[in-house]
Amino acid sequence: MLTVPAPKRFDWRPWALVAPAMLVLMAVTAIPFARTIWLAFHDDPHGFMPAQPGWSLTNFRVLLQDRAWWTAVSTTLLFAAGAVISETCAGLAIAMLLQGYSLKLRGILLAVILLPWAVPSVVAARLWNWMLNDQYGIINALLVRLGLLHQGVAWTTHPHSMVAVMIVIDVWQATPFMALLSLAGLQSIPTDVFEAAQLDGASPWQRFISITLPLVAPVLSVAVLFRLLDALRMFDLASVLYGTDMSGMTLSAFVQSQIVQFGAPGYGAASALGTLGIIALAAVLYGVCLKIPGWIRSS
Amino acid sequence: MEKTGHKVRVIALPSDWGTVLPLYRQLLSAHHPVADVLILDSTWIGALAPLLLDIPPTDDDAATRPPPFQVEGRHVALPWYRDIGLLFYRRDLLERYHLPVPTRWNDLERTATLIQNAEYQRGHPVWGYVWQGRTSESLVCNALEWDGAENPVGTDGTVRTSLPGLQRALERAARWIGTASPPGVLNYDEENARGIFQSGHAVFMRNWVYAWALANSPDSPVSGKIGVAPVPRDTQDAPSGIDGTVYLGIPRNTAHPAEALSLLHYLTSETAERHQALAGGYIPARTSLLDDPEIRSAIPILDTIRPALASLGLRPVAQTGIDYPRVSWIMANHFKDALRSTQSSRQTLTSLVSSLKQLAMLGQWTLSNSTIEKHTP
Repeated sequence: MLTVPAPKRFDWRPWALVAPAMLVLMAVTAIPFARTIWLAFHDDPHGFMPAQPGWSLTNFRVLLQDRAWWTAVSTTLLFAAGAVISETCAGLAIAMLLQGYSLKLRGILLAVILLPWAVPSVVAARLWNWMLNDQYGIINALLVRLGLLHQGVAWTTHPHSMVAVMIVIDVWQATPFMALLSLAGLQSIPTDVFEAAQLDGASPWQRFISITLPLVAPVLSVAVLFRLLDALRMFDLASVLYGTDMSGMTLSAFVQSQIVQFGAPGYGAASALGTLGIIALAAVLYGVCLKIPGWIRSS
Repeated sequence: MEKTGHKVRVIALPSDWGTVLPLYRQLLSAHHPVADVLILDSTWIGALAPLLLDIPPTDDDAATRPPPFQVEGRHVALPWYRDIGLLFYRRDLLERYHLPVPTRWNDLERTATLIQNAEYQRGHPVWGYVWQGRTSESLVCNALEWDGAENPVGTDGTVRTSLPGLQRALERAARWIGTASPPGVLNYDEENARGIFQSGHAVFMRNWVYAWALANSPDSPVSGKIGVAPVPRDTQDAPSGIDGTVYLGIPRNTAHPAEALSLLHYLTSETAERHQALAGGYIPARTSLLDDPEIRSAIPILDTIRPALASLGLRPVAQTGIDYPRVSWIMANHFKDALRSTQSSRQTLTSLVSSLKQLAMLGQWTLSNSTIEKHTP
């Protein structure tokens, strides 16, 4: 028997069902975001803006000329690029090594490898800070004993080594995550593809480039996006290691110090919107980079 | 309080001094604050001044050094106890090499290097001088104590364009790093420096008053072997230790202004300051108490640091007011750049001056006789 569809009538039930979710989203996201925009464009008695009514671009004009802000932008981008690229390469390499082991051994190794991922960033930063201490740190002690150094090096004082130290700690922490996701990606590749390639005489390198990489790419690219966004909002390492040193400040640390240390909510809001813009730009750029191989192939 | 019958509830501050200013900003913006009398570090008062109650001037104001904290002519805080940057030294090492306590920074550099080299040859490696090079308020204090170092912001709020003394001081201090001072000194705060000094690994240390009691505690390896002096003088022959006085103030939105004021006057009274000097070793802000024999025997270092207490090495807190935390941040970062030699001291100071000028234009630097033109939108 055919059912005749009822005449279209406004049905409030689906709206009522999604309303709580919408309200929660409004409360936790939309309202604070709107407030941030309002603050960024308005009078800010504790910040840079002189008292004046109405909308103004002063916060953004100051931001564009702020040396500390641009240092934070370059530090953050350098850190994110350095950390994510190293983590992806190392993670994939570890995953390929692990794949060769038996299931039981792999489980044990994976658990061990995942330990740094379980350490909170703040704790990791403190740990590494002690290990890198110029007087009492184990790393300097080791290098001096091996004869590679004459006296302890203060690793966290020079701007370049400051970013490098952040990258090293992040790689130590996040490589397990990339290894885990890469392993999942590798396991989803059917083994008969490799067997066929081997029969046709493909070298291990050829198999890696033409089979492993393209097949693991979808999983890997999502993992890289996660890590990229995570790295771009890095706060803990910069804050714990370098405090208010401009040379080690990431964008999040910059925004936090404007609001909390200097009590400038308007300027802080403007820099937060700037940060959002930079993260969005980086994500779009990453999306474009992913599409390039496809364009090359189709043209 | 026994005298008035009011009860006082003491609210403990977080142990991390750096988190208090943000906390106060929140508390003072609330409808009614939870506290009626606030402990104030001198560096916060500029930023908090608009939120603090006026304290009516009294005849008693001349009895303290420093005087009540003024912002735009208003008294907003009364000094509670003194703190000051001091030079700690290893008496035993100076005696071994028959060297006097240095009174000039060049002497300190020479003495430190001499003892460091001699001790190294004896097989006891020590560092010459430890101080606070971490990018923070402490670095600003250290740098402004070096001899000839001009304050980049004048007392009237003008930005000085020529800072030759500060440049020389920064160049000399950059030379210390890795020679007389450990390379990591650029990451040290007060506690890191004390760690090195107290474990016997440094000849000299710059620190605040609190370090004396800790370095002389029974479990300290250098207990009884150390001395303290004013930081080396500058060329004008005035001791240049930076003033770290702790003040008390009242939030503007307090529900009990009269009671708060009476408590404030009690806490800064002679009786109360005397009690906390005898019981806790706090250096009184009332100058008359500095001569009190009982207090002098309770705080033995008082006699040696007395000349330092007489002068006030001030940071530009009152002039820059609300902007001081940012001014301090900018100064600390520029000093740091000069010290780690990523830029020449000259370039760094040029950049510092232009940053401060920009800030002075945008900001609301408070002195009415300030020569800086107010930014008009």
